[in-house]
Amino acid sequence: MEQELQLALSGLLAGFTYALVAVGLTLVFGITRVVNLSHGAFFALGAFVTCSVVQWGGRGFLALPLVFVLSLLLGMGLERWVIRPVRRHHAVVAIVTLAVAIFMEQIFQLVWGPDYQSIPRELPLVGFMGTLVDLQQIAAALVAVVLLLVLFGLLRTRIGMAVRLVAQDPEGAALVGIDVPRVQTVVFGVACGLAAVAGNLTAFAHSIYPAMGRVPLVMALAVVIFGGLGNVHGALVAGLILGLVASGVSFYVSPEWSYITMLLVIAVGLLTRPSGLLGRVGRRD
Amino acid sequence: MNRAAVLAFVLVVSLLAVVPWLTTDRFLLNLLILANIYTIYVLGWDFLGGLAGHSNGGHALSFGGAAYLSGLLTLAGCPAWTIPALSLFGITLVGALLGWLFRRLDGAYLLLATLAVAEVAHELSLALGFTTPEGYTIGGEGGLPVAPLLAREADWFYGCLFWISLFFLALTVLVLYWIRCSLPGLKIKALAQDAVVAQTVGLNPDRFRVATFAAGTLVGGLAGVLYAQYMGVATPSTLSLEFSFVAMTVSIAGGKGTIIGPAVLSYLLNVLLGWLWVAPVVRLLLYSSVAILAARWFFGRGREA
Repeated sequence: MEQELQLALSGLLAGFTYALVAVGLTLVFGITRVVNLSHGAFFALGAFVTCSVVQWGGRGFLALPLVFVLSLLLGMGLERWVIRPVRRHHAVVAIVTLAVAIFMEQIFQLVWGPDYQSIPRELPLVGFMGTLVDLQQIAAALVAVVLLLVLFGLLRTRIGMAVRLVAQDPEGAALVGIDVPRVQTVVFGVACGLAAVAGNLTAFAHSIYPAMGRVPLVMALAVVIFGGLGNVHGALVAGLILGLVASGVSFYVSPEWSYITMLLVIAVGLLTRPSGLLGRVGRRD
Repeated sequence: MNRAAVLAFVLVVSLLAVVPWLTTDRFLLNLLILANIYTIYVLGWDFLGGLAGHSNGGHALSFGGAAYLSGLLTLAGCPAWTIPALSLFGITLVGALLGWLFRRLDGAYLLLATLAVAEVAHELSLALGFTTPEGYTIGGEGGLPVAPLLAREADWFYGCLFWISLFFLALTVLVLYWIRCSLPGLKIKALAQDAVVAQTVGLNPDRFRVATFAAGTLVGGLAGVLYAQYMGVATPSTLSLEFSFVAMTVSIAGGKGTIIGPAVLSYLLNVLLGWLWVAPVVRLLLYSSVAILAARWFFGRGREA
C-alpha cells in the first residue's frame, strides 16, 4: 500500500510538469494549428542551460528566468522566420518542426557533448507517513502549478480573450483589429518558454543528453491527444492521468514500456478518437 | 520520359554498371552499394509522401521492418533463399494494414500516427531479446543476424551485390516513373490534390490509400531486404526517427513526387557524404538545414507545391 501511495504521489507530481509541457503544445495547436515537434527540444534546452548554470556554481532555480526568456525569444524567432511561411501546409510544417528538433539536438551534441550528464538535487528526500517525499519534486510541481494558474488567469483577461478569439476565429479576430500574426508568434514563444521551464524544473531528476526532449514530447503529444487537440483544460487533466499511468508502467514493467505506452496512446488516440477522450467534437477549419 | 531523358538514364546506369570491372576497391563499391540501397528507400517515401500525398512520418518502419523480418525468419530457421521474398511479402502486408488503419487521417495527423508506430517498432527492437536454439541471447542494440544469400567472404561479393542493388534501383526508378505518368498515377495525383473532387468522378480513396501504402512500403522494404543481405544484420538504427526524417528531407529537397529529382539528390548526397567521411552529427545538421530551407523555398507563402 505504501508503495502504491509513493507511486501515486510521484506520478501526480510528475504529471504537473508534463501538464506544463502539454498545455504549451496544445495552446500552440489551438492558436496556430501547428503540431510542434520541436517542443521537446526546448525542454532539453532548458535542462542543458540549467546544467551549465549549476556547473558554473549557480543554483538550478536561478536559471529559470534565463531559460524562459531564452526559449521565448528563440521560439518567437522560430515561429516568425521558419514556421509562418509554410504554415498553410500542415504536413510540411510538421516536418519542418521535426527538422528544427533534429537540428537543435545536433547543436546540443556539438556544444554539450553526446554523453549523459546530471546535476545534484538541491533539496532532500524526507520521510512522511511511511513514504519518501521528494522536496525538489514538490517544489517543481508547485512552480508548475503557479505557472499554470498564471496562464489560466491570463487567458481570462482582456489579452487572453484576444488569444481565445484568435484560436476560435482568426479571420474574425483580424476584423476586430487584433494583430493575429503577432498573437500567434507570442503564444508560440510562450509555449516554448514553458517547455524550457519544465526542463529546468525536472533537470535534477533525469539524465541530460541531446535527445532527452523526445520522451517529454511524446508524453505531451499523448496528453494533448488524450485531452483533446487544442483543449487546454483537457490537457491539464490528461497530464495528471497519464503522469500516473506512466509512473505505474515505468515502475511495474520498465521505463521503456512507459514510453511505448505513450506512443500507443498517440497512435490509437488519433485512430479512434481524434477529438480526444476528454474532448468534444467541435468545429474544425 | 522524353528521348533525351531515356538516353541519359541508360547512359548513367551503364556507366555505373561497369564500375566493378574497373575497380575492386571495397570502399568505393561499399559507397555505391549503400547509395543504391538508400536511394531505393528514399523513392519509397517519394512515391507515398510525394506522389500520393500521404505524409508518412515512419518510413523507416518499411526499411527496418523488412530487415527485422529477415532476422526473425533467420531465427525461425527458414531457408535463406526464401527469406527475402517472405520479408518483402510480410512488410507489404504491414504497409497495407497501416494504410487501411490510418485511412481517415491526413496531413500532420497521419505523419504523427505513422511516426508513433515506427517509434514503437524502434523501441521494441531495442527492448526485446531473443534466444537462439544454441542458447545465445540476441537482439537489443546488437540487432538480429540475417542469413545471407551470397557468401560475404567471396571476392565477387561486393561487385555482385552492387549489380543486384543497381538493377533494383533502375527497376524502381523505371516502375515508379511509369506509374507517375500512367493513368493510375494520374488517379493517385488527383486523390492527393483533392480527394473529394476525385471521389465525385468515381475514385475510391480507401482502396488507393491501401494500395499506395502497400507499394511505398514494398519499395522501402526492398531497400531494407537488400541492406540486411549486405550487412548480414538488422539493427535498431534502421528503424530510427532520424532515418525516416532523412527520406522526407531528400524527397522534399529533390522535388516531392518527381521520382527522378529525389533519386539524383539521394545518390549524390550519399556518395558525397560517404566519400568525405562526414560525421553523423554533421550529416543530420546538414539534412535538417536542407529540410528547413527546402520547405521554405518550395512551400513558402504564395507558393503551391
